[in-house]
Amino acid sequence: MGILERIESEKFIFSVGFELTPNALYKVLLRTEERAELMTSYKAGIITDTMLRCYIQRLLRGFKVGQRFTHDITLSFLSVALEPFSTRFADEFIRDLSKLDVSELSISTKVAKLCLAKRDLLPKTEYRKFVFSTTAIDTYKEIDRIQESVDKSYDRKNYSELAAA
Amino acid sequence: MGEVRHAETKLIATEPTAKPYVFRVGLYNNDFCFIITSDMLNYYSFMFEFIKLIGSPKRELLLDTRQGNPIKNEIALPPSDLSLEREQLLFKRYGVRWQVRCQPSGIYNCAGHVWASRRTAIYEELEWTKILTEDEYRKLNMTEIPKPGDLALYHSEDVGFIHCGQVISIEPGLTAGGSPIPKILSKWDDASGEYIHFASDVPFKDKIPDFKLEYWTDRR
Repeated sequence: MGILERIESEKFIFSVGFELTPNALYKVLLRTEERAELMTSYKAGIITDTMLRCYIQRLLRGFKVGQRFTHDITLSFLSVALEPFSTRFADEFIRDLSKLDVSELSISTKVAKLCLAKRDLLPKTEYRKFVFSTTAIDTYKEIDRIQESVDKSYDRKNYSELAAA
Repeated sequence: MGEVRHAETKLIATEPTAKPYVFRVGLYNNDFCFIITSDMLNYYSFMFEFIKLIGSPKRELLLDTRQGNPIKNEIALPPSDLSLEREQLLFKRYGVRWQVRCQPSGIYNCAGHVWASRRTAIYEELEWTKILTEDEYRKLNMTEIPKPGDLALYHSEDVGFIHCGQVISIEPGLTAGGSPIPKILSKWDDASGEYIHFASDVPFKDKIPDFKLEYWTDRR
C-alpha cells in the first residue's frame, strides 16, 4: 500500500487517536513515521504536485454537507507534512485550507492555521529585482573608464619612479 | 462566464483532466457551471472552492469571560460513523477502567464541558489561557489536594494544553498514608463520549508521554 493510500486508511486515522486540541494533534502528526515517508517521497519527486492535487480532489468527493468530513485527519496530516516545503502547491494548499470557515472541516483548518504560522517563522530567501536605467549604466561605464585611466597613470608613474632610481 | 441550468443534482465536481478546466457545482436545485481556463490557474486557486460554496458556516455562541471579553468557540457537528468506530476501538484499547457517563456526541469538547456547560467547543489554546486568567483561576501547589469541582489540566512543554477535565471525587491512595487519587470527568474530543477516569489514565499517554498534570481552582 502506498503512502497516500495509507494516510487515508482507517488504520492510520485510528492510530492518531482522539483529536484533542489542534496543537496536540499537530505534534502527534509531526511525530508519525508516515510524515517522514511522505516528505522523502515528495522531496524525491516520487509524489508530485499533480498527484497530490488529484488525491485531494478525490478525497473531497466524499464531502457531505452537514456531516463531519471523513478525511479531516488526512488533510491535517498533509498540511503538517507539506509545511516545510516552499513549493507553490504546498503554499496554496496550506493557505487555502487555513482560510476555510466551514464546520465540516473543523480540525484540519485549525492545524493548517498552525502550519501557516510555523511557515511564516521559517527563514526565507527574498528575491529582489533591480532595474537600472540606461543613464545609470552609462554612469557606471564612465566610472570604469576613469578608474582604468587612473590605474594606467599610476602604473606609468611607478615605472618612471623606478627607472629614475 | 457561467451557465445556470435547472436540474435536481447534488454535487458534481469533475477532475481537471483536460484544458480548459470545467467544474460543475450544484447548489440546491440549480446546477451552476463554472469554466476556468488554464491561463486563469496562475492566480486563481480552486482547490477548496466548492467546499466554500456548499459548506455549512460555523456556528458559535456568545460566550464571555468574567471580565466580559469574548471567547472564541464553535459548535461541533455530530460524530461521523468513522468517529464512532474510532471511539469504540480506543475505548477497547485504553478504557478498561473508564466509566461511561454519556455516549459520543458532538457540540462540545473538553473545554466546552468545563467552561461552557456542554453547549459549545473551545479549541484555541489562547482562549484557554484567557479563561484561566480572566476567570481568576489559580494553580494548586504541590501540597494542596484538589477538591471536587476543581479542574485538571494536561499540558506539555512543547505542545501546550492537551486536555482538561473536572475533578469529581478524590479516591484514597493505594497504600495507607499514600496520596489520594483524583477521579476526573472529561470528554476526550468534540466527537467522543464523556468518561470518568483516574487522573493519569489518559489515552494520549503513549503519544505525548511528557505530559504534565496540573490542578486549577477558582476557590479563594
